[in-house]
Amino acid sequence: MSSFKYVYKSGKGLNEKLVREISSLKKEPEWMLEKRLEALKIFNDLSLPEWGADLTGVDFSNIHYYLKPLQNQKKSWKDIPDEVRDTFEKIGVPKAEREVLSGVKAQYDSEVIYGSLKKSLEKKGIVFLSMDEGLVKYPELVKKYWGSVVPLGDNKLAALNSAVWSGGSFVYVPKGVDVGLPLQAYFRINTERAGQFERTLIIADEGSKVHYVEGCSAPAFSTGSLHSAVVEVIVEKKAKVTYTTVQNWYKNVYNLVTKRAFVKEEGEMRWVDGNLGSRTTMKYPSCILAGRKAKGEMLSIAWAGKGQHQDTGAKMIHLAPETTSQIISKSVSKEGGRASYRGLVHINKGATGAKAKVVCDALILDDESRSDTYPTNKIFENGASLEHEATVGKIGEEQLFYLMSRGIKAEEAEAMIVNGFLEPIMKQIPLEYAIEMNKLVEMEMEGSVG
Amino acid sequence: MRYKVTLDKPGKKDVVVPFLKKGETAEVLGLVLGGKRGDYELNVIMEHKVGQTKGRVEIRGFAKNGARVKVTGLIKIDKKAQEVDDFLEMRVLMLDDKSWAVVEPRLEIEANQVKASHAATVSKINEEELFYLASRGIDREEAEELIVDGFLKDITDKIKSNV
Repeated sequence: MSSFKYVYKSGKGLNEKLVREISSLKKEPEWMLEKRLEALKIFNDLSLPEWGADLTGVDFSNIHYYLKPLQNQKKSWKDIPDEVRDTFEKIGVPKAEREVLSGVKAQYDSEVIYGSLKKSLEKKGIVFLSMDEGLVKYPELVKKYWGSVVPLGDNKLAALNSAVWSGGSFVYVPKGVDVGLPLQAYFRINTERAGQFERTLIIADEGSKVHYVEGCSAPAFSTGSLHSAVVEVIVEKKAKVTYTTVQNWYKNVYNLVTKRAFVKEEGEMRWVDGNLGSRTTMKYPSCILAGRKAKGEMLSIAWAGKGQHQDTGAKMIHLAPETTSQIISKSVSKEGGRASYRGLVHINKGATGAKAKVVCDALILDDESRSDTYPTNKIFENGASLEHEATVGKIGEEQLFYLMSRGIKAEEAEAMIVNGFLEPIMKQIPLEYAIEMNKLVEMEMEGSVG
Repeated sequence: MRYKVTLDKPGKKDVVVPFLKKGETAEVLGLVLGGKRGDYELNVIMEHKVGQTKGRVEIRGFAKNGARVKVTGLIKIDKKAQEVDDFLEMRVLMLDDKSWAVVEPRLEIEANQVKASHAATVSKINEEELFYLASRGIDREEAEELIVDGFLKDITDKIKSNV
């Protein structure tokens, strides 16, 4: 049995008292408590979306909303209790930190328990804190931008996050600074019926450049957990932000996330989104292309295996002239899994010369599985162009036959083809994750060919 | 089977094509000539209830003088409908800044031995083409008309022919 004791674990269910309790435990300013309470009201008023995945299995009254593992965030892995440290060791976080990262945040249930940032980067003025620390140390910035891209009432789950948020990252990159190696956050849900509601705010000042990577996982439990994050990204003039997610939640986690970037003149926002785990994911990272020549990009992979529904996609909102966007989505469904692409391209009046391109490819590996494509393209400007294409198909018999004629077993050949299908996006994912994903594809494909 | 549908004034038209017999082939040709202020809505559903069926949907249209063109297409392939082949294409030209277009090409696929794809574009007239025609002494209005006619020709020809 686990010897590890939480500093604080809320009972199941959500009410105003709990929201006040979370805010008071965190010693927050009054304005944040007010936002939380307002968001709670909105959450109670709104209904779940009628489109998208089936969310009837989410029981909001049967979730622990706040689980605080440690009193404070630690700066050394030595200060982390063995059990928690072992979890992150197994995932390989400390090793990656030594070798390929600029900084790390590790969140265990509701709180960030470990954080580091290379000294050289700190000196350049880069800020990489937990959202809670950010609120304490940079109250003005947080007050200005928190909730500015994803408002409290954006949707029911965003309202829930705004009411009970805890943890997540606060990143500020000063003018002209290139962070170089990625900053990484790792999110772990480690309790049954837990809710994780991290809140992330990234501000990339003029001409800066940053790559933020998040990984998510949870161990096997018999009952489901809920992960509902809100991520807001501000991309100032000529800044470049890449936000990579590799989501490998256990297959009973509901993953309902709102991610959005506000991109100013000549700024570039790129989302790289790998959805492999969870029971149900609903996630459509968005770019509001608000400044001239702003650029938005989405590269996404969805893997829907047994019992999984990945309802994912992207939204590109073109508000300014010469803005460009590209969405490339690839999905694989097998063993009764369902992968749905759902996306929006909106080219507003005045976005002259805007260009958007959407490509969705899907593979269905057996006759139990399902693939859907639900794109909406709204063009309100005549000097704009949009291209959309999608294909759904099976693994090519010819490719399979060719590989098998070279002595490769059917199973292996199929895994090779699936990996090849996903490769253009895999290339964009940091190496250690790409390896993990390749392995996962191979593992998932074992025994799949009859 | 060939289905032909032309929407030349504001209004709404639905075309539902059920595939109920093996070996069935159906083609839908659609024109949306959005030349007036108002809502033009065309909705095409290809319902493959049995396997070994083939569909093709080609829709072209334009939006001008405050036309609001909405084209929705759905290829739906049921679980048992293996070896279906279907392609949905929708292309809309935007001809002025008073008009708009919404295109929603959808796929719902529950069988794995299938080919289903779609392509959609919304674009304006290429300035280079206008320039070329202008250099040949053709004024802008006439040039625009020629280009739109050319853009629609594939479909208009097929609709006219009785093959």
